Amino acid sequence: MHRLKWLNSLNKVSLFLAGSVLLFMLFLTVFNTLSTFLGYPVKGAFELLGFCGAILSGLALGPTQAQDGHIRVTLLDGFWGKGTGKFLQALSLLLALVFFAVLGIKLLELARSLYEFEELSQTLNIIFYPFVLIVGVGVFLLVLNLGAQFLICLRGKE
Amino acid sequence: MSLFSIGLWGIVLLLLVIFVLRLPVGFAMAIIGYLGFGLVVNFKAASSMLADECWKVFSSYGLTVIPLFILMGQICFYAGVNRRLYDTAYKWLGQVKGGLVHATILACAGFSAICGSNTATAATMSTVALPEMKKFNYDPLLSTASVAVGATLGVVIPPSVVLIIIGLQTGQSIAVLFWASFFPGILLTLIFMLATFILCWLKPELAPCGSKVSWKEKFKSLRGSVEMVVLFALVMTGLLAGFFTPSQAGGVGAFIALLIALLRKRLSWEGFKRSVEDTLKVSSMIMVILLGAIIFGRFLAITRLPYELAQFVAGLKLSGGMIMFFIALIYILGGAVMDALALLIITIPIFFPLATSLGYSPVWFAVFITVVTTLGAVTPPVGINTFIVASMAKEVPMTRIFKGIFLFIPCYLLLILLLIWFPELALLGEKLVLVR
Amino acid sequence: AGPIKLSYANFPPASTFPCVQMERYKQEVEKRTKGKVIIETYPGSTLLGAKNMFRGVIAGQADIGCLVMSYQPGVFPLTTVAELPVGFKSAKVASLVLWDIFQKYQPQEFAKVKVLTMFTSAPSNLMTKSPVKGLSDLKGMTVRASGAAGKIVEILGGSPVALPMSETPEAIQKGVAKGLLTSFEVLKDLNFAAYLPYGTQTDFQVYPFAVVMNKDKWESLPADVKKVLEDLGREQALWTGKYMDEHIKEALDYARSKYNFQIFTLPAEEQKMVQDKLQVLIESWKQRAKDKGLPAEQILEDVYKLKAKYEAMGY
Ligand code: NA
Ligand code: NA
Repeated sequence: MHRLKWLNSLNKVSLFLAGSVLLFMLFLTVFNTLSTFLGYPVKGAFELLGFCGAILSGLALGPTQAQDGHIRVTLLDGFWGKGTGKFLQALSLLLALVFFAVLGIKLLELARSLYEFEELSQTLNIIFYPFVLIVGVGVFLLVLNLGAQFLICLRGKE
Repeated sequence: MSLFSIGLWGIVLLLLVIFVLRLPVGFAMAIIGYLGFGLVVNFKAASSMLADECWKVFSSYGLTVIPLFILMGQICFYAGVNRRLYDTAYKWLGQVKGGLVHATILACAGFSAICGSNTATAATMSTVALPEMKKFNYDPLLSTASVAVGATLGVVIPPSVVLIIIGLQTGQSIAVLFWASFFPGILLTLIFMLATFILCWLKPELAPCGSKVSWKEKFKSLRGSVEMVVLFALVMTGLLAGFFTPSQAGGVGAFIALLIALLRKRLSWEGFKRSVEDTLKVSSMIMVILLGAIIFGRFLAITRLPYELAQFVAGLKLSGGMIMFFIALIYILGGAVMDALALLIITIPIFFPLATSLGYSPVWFAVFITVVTTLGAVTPPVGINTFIVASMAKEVPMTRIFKGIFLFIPCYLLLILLLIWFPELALLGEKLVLVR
Repeated sequence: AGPIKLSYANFPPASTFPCVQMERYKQEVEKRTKGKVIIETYPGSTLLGAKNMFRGVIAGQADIGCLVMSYQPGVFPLTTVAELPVGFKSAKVASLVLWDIFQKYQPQEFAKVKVLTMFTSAPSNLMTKSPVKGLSDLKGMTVRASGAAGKIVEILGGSPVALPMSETPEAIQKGVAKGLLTSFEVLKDLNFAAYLPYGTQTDFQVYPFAVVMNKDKWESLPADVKKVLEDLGREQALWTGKYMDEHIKEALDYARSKYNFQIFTLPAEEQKMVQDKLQVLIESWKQRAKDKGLPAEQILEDVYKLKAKYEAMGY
């Protein structure tokens, strides 16, 4: 966990929202299964579930990284000296940070282009760029977490 | 530089980044895939590909199956289903020689029938089974190994995250894959028990007897396993009969699990919150790996490396069996040094077309690599299940746990051989689904 | 300098008709420019997928891309006129009408790219487990149909499910879906004839496709190459329509001879009823087009006029 309080709070909020979306997906799936069985499938349920899944995945990115939840191969961990190990870790965090910053910017651009094209979703015919926007925000929360871990890693080196 | 060699360098670089920089596997695949794609096409194209793929993967309806199935397993865990499963198995088998090991393996198999991941099965079963075996002075060599290998049933017995991912990556029906691995999963359970029997016969000091249990108590304990049977029957017959899609099966399963837990007052608010939180973290991790694999796959596809590799191997004129042998070897060696699921996701785009071009049934191949992959979860030096069990049994040295695991490795090899000799084992379930 | 290399992205698998026309296009362009231009084709979404084709070509991810207007509702208010249930009976007529409409109106929606050609799928028809000889047979039937086809099923009293195509064969086998609404070539290409022995000739709507090129790339081409590509536009539309219609014929022959596939037509009075019911789709297109400032009435009138003209020519 980070020592940054505000980032921890952000992670908590993000996780809470993602959890709410997960429960909504659970109930929507059950409801849709039942109503399909009775011959009245919920219109656009699959599409809506897909959008919910996107929000869930996006918002859970940062909190998961905060707890080192993205699996890594730590086989060679003891192989390097402390200094080299720290350096490699900082480098890897920086690489990830830059990459996800690019991804985040590109997601915002995608949302903008969907907005400009006035593109509607396939089944429900609703605007859906806000969902893309939320995923982008989730990616930026991941970037913040990576940044915090990078700083902590640098400070630990002193 | 030719496209082919760029592809090869990409793979080398990927391994370096994974092992040396220790980047999370999903991040590493995404980053190398992005850089490679940018190098071959251009970076403008690569950047817009990133966002498009991210949105497409995250918003795919097919992938909502992952959080829903994980939620089902987590709710069951926090509601204590695994504890009750163990209790049943223990009451029935406890007093025979090595009975607690048999009970552990059976309880693992039972929990695997409602939980799709072997790490979750390992984490949950070690909290229940290890203290019990310690109480009865079982040799840690046997107790820790039995939990670690028993938990690998998590992905062989359906539901299974590995089969879901193979299904999604290769466009196969998840229902068919689930049913196809059903019999091999049962068979592996029986082989584990046979191995336990032989071990205890050879070395009786490994496993003393537990206490005697009356028949009345035995039957009473069966009630504790009803939930698991109900959930498994519901999910698997629902899939078989085509009542619902895999995602719906996961959703309905999670919902019923929640309902049972609440009605029987077994899930606390805290437990519920933690099951949701765990689900989010595990699915986020899997989604990132999938995203990374897809981006890396886009890079590989554009270098045509998988295609040319398949051509090359086909040109070697080796027998199909030889090639399967090499593929199994790569998975076993690769599974030894890295996380098995990540290895699987990286290699599927390369090996899957190869296997099908050799005439192997896609369903059979999926089951085959699932078994080989799950073996990788216990083998040293990187065996995620072993690590989990070791973290729960801190007093047992790692080397001793791995030593115990070696006693069980022949079980997997036996199942792999059986699968090669009798492919029907994996095709039986497929027929069951298609007959309808 | 070496030849000009152009990348051409397509989304469906290589065996499908949009990719067949792509390979033909490649051959013709390479032949007619005498090797001055080389086209590298990327079928099966290897370079760009269906939904990011348009953005991808604008961004330069691929030089050329083949897209379906129906996959991005709202983005192509004008050319989606071709996906209305106006009763196209062949892909050839529909493709030529689409091309002519595009040429006449030069819609704003394609302003960011150079359009090389346009064509359509064949008309969509019902394929079912039990015979659909009238609208009453369709009542409550679960039919796999997505987008505009889904709306049609809904309006006519069926219950559409928008399953992904990958899950469709299984859903059909298990009876989760009792039918399909799409063009007939899937009978052979995906072997649906084995499970769906009945067809109903409804000729509801077609899916419009556009082959577009990155604008900067287009500007960078020498004049003679531009000329070759310009000349090929209409010809390619016609070729693809013709190919599609012949392919449908083959699929039907296959289904008839191998699985004894039977085709019904709705009674005349019901056909009229269907037309009336589907009028809402046309009205809602008109509304959307008008909202975006397009001369909707006139465009529709032109569609009917062109359709009549090409049908009279025996296309
Ligand atoms: Na399982
Ligand atoms: Na391993």
